[in-house]
Amino acid sequence: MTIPNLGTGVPVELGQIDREIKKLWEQSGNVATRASLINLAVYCEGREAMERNTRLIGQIAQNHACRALLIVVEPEAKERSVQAWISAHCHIGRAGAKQTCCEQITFLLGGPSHNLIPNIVFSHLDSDLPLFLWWQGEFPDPIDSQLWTWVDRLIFDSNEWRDQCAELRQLRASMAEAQGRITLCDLNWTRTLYFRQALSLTFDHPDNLPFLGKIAEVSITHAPEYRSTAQLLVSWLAAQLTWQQPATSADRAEFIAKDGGKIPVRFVEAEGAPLSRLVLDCGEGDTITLLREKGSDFLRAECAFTDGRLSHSLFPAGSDTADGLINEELQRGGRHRVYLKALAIAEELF
Amino acid sequence: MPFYVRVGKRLPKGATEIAVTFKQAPAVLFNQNLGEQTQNILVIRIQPDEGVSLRMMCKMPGPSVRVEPVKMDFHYGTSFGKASPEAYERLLLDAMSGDATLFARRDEVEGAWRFIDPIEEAWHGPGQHPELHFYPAGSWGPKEADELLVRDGRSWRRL
Repeated sequence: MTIPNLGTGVPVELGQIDREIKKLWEQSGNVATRASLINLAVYCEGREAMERNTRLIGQIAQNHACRALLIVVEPEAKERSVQAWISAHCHIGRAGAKQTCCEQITFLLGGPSHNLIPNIVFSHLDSDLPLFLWWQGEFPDPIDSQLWTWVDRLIFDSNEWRDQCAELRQLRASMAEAQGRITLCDLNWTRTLYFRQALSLTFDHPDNLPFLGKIAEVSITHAPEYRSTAQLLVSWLAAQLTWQQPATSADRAEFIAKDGGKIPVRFVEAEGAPLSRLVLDCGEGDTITLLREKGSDFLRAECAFTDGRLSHSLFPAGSDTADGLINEELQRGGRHRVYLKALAIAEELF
Repeated sequence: MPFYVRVGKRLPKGATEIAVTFKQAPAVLFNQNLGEQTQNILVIRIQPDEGVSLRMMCKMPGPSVRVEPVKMDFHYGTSFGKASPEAYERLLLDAMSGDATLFARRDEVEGAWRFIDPIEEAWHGPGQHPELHFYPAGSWGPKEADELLVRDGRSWRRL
């Protein structure tokens, strides 16, 4: 017998979750392998998010074996309530291989239930495996700081926030209170990954490297709702090149280079990919451009210099979908130190 | 070598385990600070879901030095195709067959009470009572229990 993919899952009583999961695996006989390398908890609000996230977890589980805990909160509910479901996500890695299955426990919490998460939800973690908590949307105010004592990596998308500075302040304060050692993983930062890689590789070329210190002006084209993504990309550039003191206005920013020169940055809105174009003007007509054309899976780098040299390169553009970004993030380890450096500057731009 | 014992009623999860936390290995191989909490842990699960697991820190493939925890897990139930009998199933069978091996002897029980009685008397007797720390049912215990380990630069394992 194979374990079926059960959609949102089979409803179970809270006290019977472990027993029911055990039963689920016993039913599989010897045809499925249970796999888990991490605990992935996904927090979202609204019942309609349940199905969407279950689908997402199924896609994630194909590449990252995990025990998934989907926490769906209905903060508007008048009464406190907790319901739970269990399900399994199975896939076959190669022809003839055993199915590899990951289990998902879904919790629907009614009312103001954030403080139930450590006690009810996190008692179902796979012990000793790291806990990745993907928090969708904004944080509640106040955040229960005890939550952070559980979490190893906190995944969020700062582009979903209305006020990035306020959210970050609140997050930092509650993390300090809990004395947590969480690694912050911003999907908005992941969104800039392929632009950062392409730009780094472009400057790796010895012919292009001298122009890194000559950047005189920057222009970034981004989709209207992705201003913060563009700001993070610019902040990374500023942090790596030790540009100082950003001054900002509606669609501009200005940095001071190490030699004291001013470097204006222009943000241009255009429909399309979150980031579609980055132009570095290196003075005297020398330009380096990264371009993602509509619908393309590639980034095109174009280096045009006044001495007549013109070169083109293609780089992968990555994925902008939620499962693409989260898959990318889950492949990575470490503390994201470069992100923290960039974030310190981005907070002055947001 | 310090021993910490954690017990409680109405905790969110019921588990009887022995966890051996190894000393942090020096990062001489990589000549870099590998970060905090990179100790390996051997867990002997007594109940439920009897088995043994080893959580070890593993360097991720690639040129950069990134260490993440991985776990080797042995479950009696899944490895041998049938679950161990529940605690009282075995004891009832032993009682019926007259095997006292798993039962506490009278002198052992009396020894345990000789340890507990003075503590209970101190709580109920007159004068200065040692402070008792309470916690809500369904929570992970009083914060003082966490602080006990924090004072030694440690923290409880996540069960």
